[in-house]
Amino acid sequence: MFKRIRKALITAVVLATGLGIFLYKATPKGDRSAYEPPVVDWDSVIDDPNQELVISWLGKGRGVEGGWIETMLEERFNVDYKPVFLTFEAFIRKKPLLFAGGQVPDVCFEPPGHVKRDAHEGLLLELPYDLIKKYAPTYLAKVNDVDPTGWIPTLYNGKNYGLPLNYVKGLYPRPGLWRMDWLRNVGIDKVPETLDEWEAALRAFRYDDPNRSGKQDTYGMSGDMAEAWWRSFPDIFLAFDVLPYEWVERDGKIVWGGCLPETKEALALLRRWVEEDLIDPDFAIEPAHLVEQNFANGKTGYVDYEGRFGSFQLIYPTSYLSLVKRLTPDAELAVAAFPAGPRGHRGGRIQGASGNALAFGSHLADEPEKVIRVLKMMEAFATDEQLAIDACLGKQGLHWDFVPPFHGPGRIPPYDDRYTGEREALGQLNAGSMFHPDTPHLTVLNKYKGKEARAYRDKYRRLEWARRDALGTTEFVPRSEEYLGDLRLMQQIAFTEILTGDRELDYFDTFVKDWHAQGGAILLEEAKKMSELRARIYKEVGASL
Amino acid sequence: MIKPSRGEKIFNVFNMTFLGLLAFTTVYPFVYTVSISLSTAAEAQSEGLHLYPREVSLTAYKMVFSSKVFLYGYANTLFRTIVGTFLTLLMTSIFAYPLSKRNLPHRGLFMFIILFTMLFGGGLVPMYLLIKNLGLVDSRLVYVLPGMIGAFNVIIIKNFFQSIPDSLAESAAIDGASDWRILFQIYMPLSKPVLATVALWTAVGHWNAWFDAMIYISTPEKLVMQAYLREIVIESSTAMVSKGLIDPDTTQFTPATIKAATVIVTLLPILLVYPFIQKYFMRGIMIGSVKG
Amino acid sequence: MSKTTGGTSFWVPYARHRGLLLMLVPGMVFFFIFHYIPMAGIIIAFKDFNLREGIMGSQWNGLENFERLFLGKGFPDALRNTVIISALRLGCGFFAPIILALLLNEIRLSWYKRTIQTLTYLPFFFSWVILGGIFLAVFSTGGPINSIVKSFGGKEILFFSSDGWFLFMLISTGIWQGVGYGAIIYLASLSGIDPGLYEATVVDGAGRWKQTIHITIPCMVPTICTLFILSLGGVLDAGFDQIYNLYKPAVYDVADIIDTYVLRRLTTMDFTLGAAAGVFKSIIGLGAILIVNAIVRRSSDGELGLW
Repeated sequence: MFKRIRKALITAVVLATGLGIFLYKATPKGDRSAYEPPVVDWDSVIDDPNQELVISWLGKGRGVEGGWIETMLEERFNVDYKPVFLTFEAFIRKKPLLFAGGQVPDVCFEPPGHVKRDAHEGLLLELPYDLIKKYAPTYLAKVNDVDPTGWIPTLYNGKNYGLPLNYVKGLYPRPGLWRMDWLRNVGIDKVPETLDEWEAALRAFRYDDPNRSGKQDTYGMSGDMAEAWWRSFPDIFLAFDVLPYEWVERDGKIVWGGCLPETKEALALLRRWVEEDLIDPDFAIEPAHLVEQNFANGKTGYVDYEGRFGSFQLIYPTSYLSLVKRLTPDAELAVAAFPAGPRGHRGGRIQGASGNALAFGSHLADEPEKVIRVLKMMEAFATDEQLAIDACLGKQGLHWDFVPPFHGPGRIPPYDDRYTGEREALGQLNAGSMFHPDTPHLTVLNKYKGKEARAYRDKYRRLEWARRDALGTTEFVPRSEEYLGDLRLMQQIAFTEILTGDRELDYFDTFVKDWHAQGGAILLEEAKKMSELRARIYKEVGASL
Repeated sequence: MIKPSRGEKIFNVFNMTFLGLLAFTTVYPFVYTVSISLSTAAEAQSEGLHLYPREVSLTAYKMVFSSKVFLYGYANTLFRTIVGTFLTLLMTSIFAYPLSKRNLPHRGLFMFIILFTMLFGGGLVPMYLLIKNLGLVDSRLVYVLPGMIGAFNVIIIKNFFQSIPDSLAESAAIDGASDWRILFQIYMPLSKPVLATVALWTAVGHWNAWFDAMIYISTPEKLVMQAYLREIVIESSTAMVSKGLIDPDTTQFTPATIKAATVIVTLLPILLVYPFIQKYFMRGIMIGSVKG
Repeated sequence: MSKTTGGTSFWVPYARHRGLLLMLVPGMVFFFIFHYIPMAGIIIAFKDFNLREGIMGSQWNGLENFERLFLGKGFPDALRNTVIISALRLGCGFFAPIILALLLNEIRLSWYKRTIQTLTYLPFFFSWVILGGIFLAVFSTGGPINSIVKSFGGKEILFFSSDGWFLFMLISTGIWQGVGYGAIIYLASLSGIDPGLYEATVVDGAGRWKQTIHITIPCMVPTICTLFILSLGGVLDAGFDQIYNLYKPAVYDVADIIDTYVLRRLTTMDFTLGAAAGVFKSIIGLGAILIVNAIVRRSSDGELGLW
């Protein structure tokens, strides 16, 4: 018995060693060479509009082939779509599998960062700027106008591989909400506008019994340090003119917001607020929905990000106003102002309107007319307003119309049922649809927004207050994949510990050192290069900085 | 019958209390979800333990049952559970029977081959390619074929078969019965507890499965219920956004009540089925066939 | 019934058991198709896999992926956490269902027993997406549990955001979720114990406790052994789904396991790191099974053990 075990073990060890040596020897050192796409002579390609083209289309959204939008577009442009419908989660997981299985579609929707990866894998066709200027000049101008940073992620190895898409919703800052009834109860009769006024309000919320309950059961506010770094007290940091988790421009240079002395100032302030119990101690673990729930349940008096038009509408049973009124019928809400800091800065963070792109499979080098057809389609969307609306929302009067109570566009039954709407691949103006994956220009959108909603937006969500990453989106910097996730995590942990008091404020300096040492310095270099690259790209596409 | 001692009586009291408390905690998520599913949308958002809804509202259930996708999902899940469980029980038993015979040539080798599959796998990409090459992509068969026989179940059933006295099989063989007859007429009836257990495991696995649907199925009518449920339950979650799984652009807010109602509707059939299966766990006493 | 042939005796056992071997065929075909063919994909762990060249065309890069995995910052911590959590789960969690089955077995009131049994397996059917949300809310500093703590005069406990408590909650809720369901198979094996054995001991004056020790548990030992050894295959799994839905940056230093670590580093097209981690976990799992199985066989004279 023992002998057998011993024999088996010896054989196993020998085999393993042999395998190990073989594998080690078989290692070629060095990187895989970068991908060079096939060269297409675009000048000689002719796209005959009378020729029907079959286009396989991988978009994002659920649907069924043969919906109204698809048929309409097929007729108009003489194409036959072969769409692949996936939800976003399925899209992320399934896309690499589809590609691995050799099913690269003709046209593919690319979330942020995917263009680079897919290009690196050799799956995409180059899309020269001149080609876009030739066949989709209006569309190009729209991109440059709305958010030209979209050109950054589509660049790989000096060549352009995608057509940027815009997401207009990401341009408007989102202010928070105050419990106006609490403010009045503690003797404040206007919405706080400076940090000092904020502090006074928060302190009163904690200690002056704003909800008249006789108990000390309320807090000023909470935050979300647990998951969403973009929701950890962004307004406070911006009062010091800094975005802690993103790239910021200072004296013409790109630096990391989280390492600036202003961030330390903001942390000092927040730390004091935590110490004085103005902030809900759960802030370190609360996910966003609990933060929101705490506000709705009257535990906190301020919540960030939720100052939307819809929050004030009693007609929605789950709007914030409805929710707080359930518990306190006299409750009132007021839109927050972005607080002004010691040097007068204020702002609200926005995501920006860029990141997504449309890309073409590299096999289209043999069928380049398809590329031109799609470019013409995108151009038509940019020039023909009616077409864009139809392709995005569906037919007015059938699928949607201007509906009460706010007279913005809304679905008509039966298309308001999620499933039925999906069958037609209907989308939304703010987000696009399967076949119109872009959002129309602001001037078009404004015509389709309810008057009241638009007035609200113009008053409380002004574009001038919008602040964003200096390079568009943080992930646009090359090599972000390698370091950014871990660095942000480290920062989240460090900041949480400073705020909860687990660490002293001066730990911030150690954090800055660590940040640089663990990859931040590399990213800083890359960001600098990216900034120069951006200037060059803008010149080529005709965008202004 | 011997009367229980005082020590045993005290133990019984403690035992029953402890188990009662345990059962109370385990039932809480269920009670919570039922309560939310029957609440109004606004109440669902409020704080509290939600042991019962203050105002009962059936809107959530109405919306769930009127959704066509959900009904398709239910049908697909039923198909998968019934057919899949049946196939698994059948094929695994057929496979486990020879392995339970000690004098099977190369038995150890077969066992190792099976065990090996429990540990090593190629991953998603090769699996996807295989399914694609077999033509099973977007086919309902993908729900029942690839997972039909699992190493774990083979071992469990095989071990149980081994505990059945060989004399039964031998006497049947002498009477001229083939291996197949021995298996189906002797071994399987005697293995009700283990077959019921494996059936329950397998059925629950199929009932809750969603990942293969998400990866392999594109037609919405062929999705299983849990795949659909997952879409609406996790879609409006910030956690999922920051983990890159949800498109921040198009989140449609599904009220907590509908999510809860969908969970309950997917859960109830299992709860109802279990008490019926329970009786199979009590094996009948073996009398006669051997001793006689 | 033996076949008399004039041929070699090599084929005799095959012929004699041809019925049995035939029964094995469909299963073996199944395993070959659905397990062994895709298993060839393991080579991804040893290649510089890229989609352009595919599995076969990608270049071998030896152990480079493993280097990247093991030398990555944070891996040693992830590995340590995985081992700790797995050990805790195995140590505490493996025996909970057994104990529950034994306790349930003692209940005389049949309806009470059945009700408890049905209720305790309920949590198993809830995914951690749902359970995670519930636990985070119930155990938050403003939630009901902390209200009780405070009413006893205590300070709020950070159940899910302090390292020690997090581990405790992770293991307990993990056990809680699976205990009722895990007890089912032990109950099945308990029901198979011949009552005659109990009757014999009663004559000798044994109470329930002695009966449990001398009859019940020994009869359950084969099942327990099998399940224990089988569970070793996943020794480095540590419960990804649960952790993924419960962990927060504040507790990463104890909660990050190999799977969550790999997930964080995974870019959409980078399958090699995950493949390498998978191979690593499988090898360790195989080793654990082989070692423990050998020990069990030796100490039971070949009676117990998987083969």
